[in-house]
Amino acid sequence: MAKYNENGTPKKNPLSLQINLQKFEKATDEEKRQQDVMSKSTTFFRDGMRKLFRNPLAVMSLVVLTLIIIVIIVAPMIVPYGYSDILSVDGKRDKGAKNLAPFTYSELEQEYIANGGERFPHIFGTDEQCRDYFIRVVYGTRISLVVGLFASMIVLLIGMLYGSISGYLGGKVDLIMMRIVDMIYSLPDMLIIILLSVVLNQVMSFKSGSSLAKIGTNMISLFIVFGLLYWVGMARLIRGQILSIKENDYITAARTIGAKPGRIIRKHILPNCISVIIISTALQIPSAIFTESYLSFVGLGVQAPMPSLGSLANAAREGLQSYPYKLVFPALTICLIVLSFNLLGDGLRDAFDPKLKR
Amino acid sequence: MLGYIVKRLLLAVLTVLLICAITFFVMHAVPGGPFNREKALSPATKEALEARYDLDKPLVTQFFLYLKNLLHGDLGVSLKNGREISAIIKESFPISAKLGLLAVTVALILGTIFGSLAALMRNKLPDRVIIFFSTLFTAVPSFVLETLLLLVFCIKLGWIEVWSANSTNYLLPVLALAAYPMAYTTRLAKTSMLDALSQDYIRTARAKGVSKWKIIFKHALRNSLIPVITYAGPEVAYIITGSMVVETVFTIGGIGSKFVQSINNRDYTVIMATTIFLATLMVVANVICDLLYKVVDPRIQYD
Repeated sequence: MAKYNENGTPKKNPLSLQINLQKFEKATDEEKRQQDVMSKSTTFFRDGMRKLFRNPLAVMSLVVLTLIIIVIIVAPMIVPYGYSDILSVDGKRDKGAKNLAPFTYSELEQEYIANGGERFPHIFGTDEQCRDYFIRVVYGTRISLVVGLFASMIVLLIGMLYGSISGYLGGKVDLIMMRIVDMIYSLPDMLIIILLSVVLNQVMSFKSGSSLAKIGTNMISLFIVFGLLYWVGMARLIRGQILSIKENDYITAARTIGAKPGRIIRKHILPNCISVIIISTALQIPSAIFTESYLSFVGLGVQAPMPSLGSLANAAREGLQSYPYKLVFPALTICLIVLSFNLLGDGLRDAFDPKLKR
Repeated sequence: MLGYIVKRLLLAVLTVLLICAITFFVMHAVPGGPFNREKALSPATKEALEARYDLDKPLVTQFFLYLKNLLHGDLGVSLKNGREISAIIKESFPISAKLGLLAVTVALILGTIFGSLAALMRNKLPDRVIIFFSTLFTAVPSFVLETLLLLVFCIKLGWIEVWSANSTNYLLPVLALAAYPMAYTTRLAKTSMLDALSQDYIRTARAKGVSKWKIIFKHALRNSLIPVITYAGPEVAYIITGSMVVETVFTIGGIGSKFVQSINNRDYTVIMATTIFLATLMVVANVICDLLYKVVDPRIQYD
């Protein structure tokens, strides 16, 4: 007896409980083609990026942020004025260049141009101390963005360290660490920032000319306070993530083969909550920029003559009726930056972590 | 429940003590004392004065003396004009309290209404408009918005008189103060309303033939209010810090503008006392919100 049927399938023993393969038909070529994988296999990251780029608001904010960053990097190289320089023509101080409207020249400059000289236009006009306003806004944006990025980095670093230790160790350590977080969380952050700024202003002094002195004690104290207070939200978030990731089998597997806790946290846990971390960092930046502009309003902003968007907008409130554009430019820049980061953060959240809701 | 309340109150008291300690010791780090004048005092006079005001005692003893005085309602005197700080607060706080309470109410009520409307008319024009404005308002620094409101409505159009002793129109300051929390509440209310509308009990109610409005008000709205109430705590904190800006811009003589003035004058005792006062207020508001939250949502466990 032949062991095989004509079509090559094995013959069924009549007594066997096996499925009768004769009842099956071979797939045609067309049917086989249906099983082909048509699209390229994607990774989690690539899939998220594709979703992000399909979100028009997120793409728009990415474009706006990129444009702003290009402008603040390139503009100081092109514009021949400094942020603290009083305008001068041919080495002579130009006292008429006070509060010029955008794209206008002072009398002295007009004379100079009439005599064949070339003068870079004052794109945003000038301020009450005869300084080019465009370059001040550019530097203000630089400062505000750096403050925002730096403050979020501090928050990220401390929050990640604290949250991952607390979440990974669990038990009593976690309980005590989280009570401390609760305590700090209930402190009114804004009041403490104001308090520390007031005091650190008096206590700290830096060598004049050093970069720390240029930013001023207020910004340093802002960073200190962010480092002391603002990390708790991040710590809580990361702890929650770690608590849920810790239960996965691959963590148990890693532990069985003797991986050390530090390695498990770095290699296995943190990469899995990276999307949550990135999203909340993106949302932290506008909040830091807001805090900075608020402090500028209260009179605890960056050290003059260094501009920040907040201090520029605040300074423009005086004489608002005559020179409204001086408020409009920095205020609009703040709005654009904050809005872009918010929308980008929302987009990132939708793309990478649809479960996470604010 | 009782255990939870006691625990929450204990945490609150501890927080207030911590705030007092931070304020006291941080302020003591400021160089110079209250008797440092342009004309130097003789050492004997200075010593006598310091002994008179207990400034010669150890710092920790001074702190406990300060706490004792605080409990007796004695907040000290202003370094700049010698006035009793408790009198300053008594005079300026009612204005701020009225402004703040109005703003909280406006933000919560209007925010909930706008948010629910946006959720009910999802992806239609009203939804788009509401979400556009609420996104915009969360991106404008408050002092810019307030300055623009003041410029347009008080000065350019002249519809509302600028705040002065005989014209106290709360409309603009309240709206300005409420703008950011209202925008935030709107977004919050929208998501939670959408969430509530997609629940099974809503479908059941609809299947039973309950009218649309009854479903919205009786089932969806009540459940969507829970996250909004959770936000009330941070909202009060925002309103308190925000009122400093609003009062300064609109030149309202509330406690917020007094605080900003004292910061600009480096009037340390006033800064210290006001910080403690406002911080205590925030802590109390947070406790109330937490307890209220548990009352509103019985599903939450008391740990």
